[in-house]
Amino acid sequence: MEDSVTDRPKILVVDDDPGWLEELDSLLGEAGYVVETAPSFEVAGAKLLTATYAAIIVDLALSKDGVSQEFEGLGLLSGLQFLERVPRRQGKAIVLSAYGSIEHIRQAFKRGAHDFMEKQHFDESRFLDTVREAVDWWKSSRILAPQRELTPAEMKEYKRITRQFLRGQSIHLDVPDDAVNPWAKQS
Amino acid sequence: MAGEGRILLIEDQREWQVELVSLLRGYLYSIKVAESLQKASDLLNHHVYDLVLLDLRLKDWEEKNFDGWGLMDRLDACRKEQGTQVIIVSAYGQAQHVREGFKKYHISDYIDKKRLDPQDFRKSVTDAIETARKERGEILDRK
Repeated sequence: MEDSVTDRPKILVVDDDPGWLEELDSLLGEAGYVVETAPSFEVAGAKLLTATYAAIIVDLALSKDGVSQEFEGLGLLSGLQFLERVPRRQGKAIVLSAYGSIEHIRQAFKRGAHDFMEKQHFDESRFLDTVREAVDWWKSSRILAPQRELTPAEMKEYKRITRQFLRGQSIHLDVPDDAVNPWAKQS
Repeated sequence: MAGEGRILLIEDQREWQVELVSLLRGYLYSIKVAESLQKASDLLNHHVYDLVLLDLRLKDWEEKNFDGWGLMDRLDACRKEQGTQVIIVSAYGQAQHVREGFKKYHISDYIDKKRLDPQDFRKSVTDAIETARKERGEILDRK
């Protein structure tokens, strides 16, 4: 019989803000998930190679110094897409971002994100619903998915892809006016 | 032959019709233009398209009007039956259109007219047509 604890879906939360890590850790823990946290994209990128997660919560702008915004979260999303092809399939990513311009949302979905949610309008029940959707998808697809370790060449490529959003190599993503309140209800 | 594709451009403004068609010059695409929802609907009833380029505001003089969005359910049905892909090309779309477009309707891309990059646009179109071919093949295989 399977251990009831290890059978619970595991979720990785990636955010450079300790406050958000703590909040999401307790919220998801109370909802019955096993939660792991990563304060940087490097830690997250390494964890994705050693464990399998039912869903990954990613902050889009992971910043090392608290000031610069390089949108390294997009690198992680690209990394997840790469792992899917290898195949070393992970669950889907849910982006949680302080930035919600059209271009940010577009870039996240084009890299396979399951959803894009804005931190300013964070809603616990909506968030947990979205996590459940992603976990359900993972449960239904993992049986079909073969898993294997990466070859050295694939490992190199994975590192390149996840790092391409480091300083100087990021795509142009400024924060335009339409980022102010993107979820405002239309009249 | 590679590069061929059938595109339906749903766009009310003459300048944008000309602009988008000219950006795709040199490809072997056949592009049909519909300037109204009615015409788009008629064409979708009688033809199969690889890609629909959809403007969200088809009565450009009406502020806050997103009548093009009303076609999304219909286009989603075309995707499921025929593999038809959708790229929204809009100047007025809002974040929620982008999110719902990708999440609920599985659009292939969302292009902001105010930041349209020709190369980005062409790549998006060729990717979408390739996806349409692939998805249509899978649909036919299941039948």
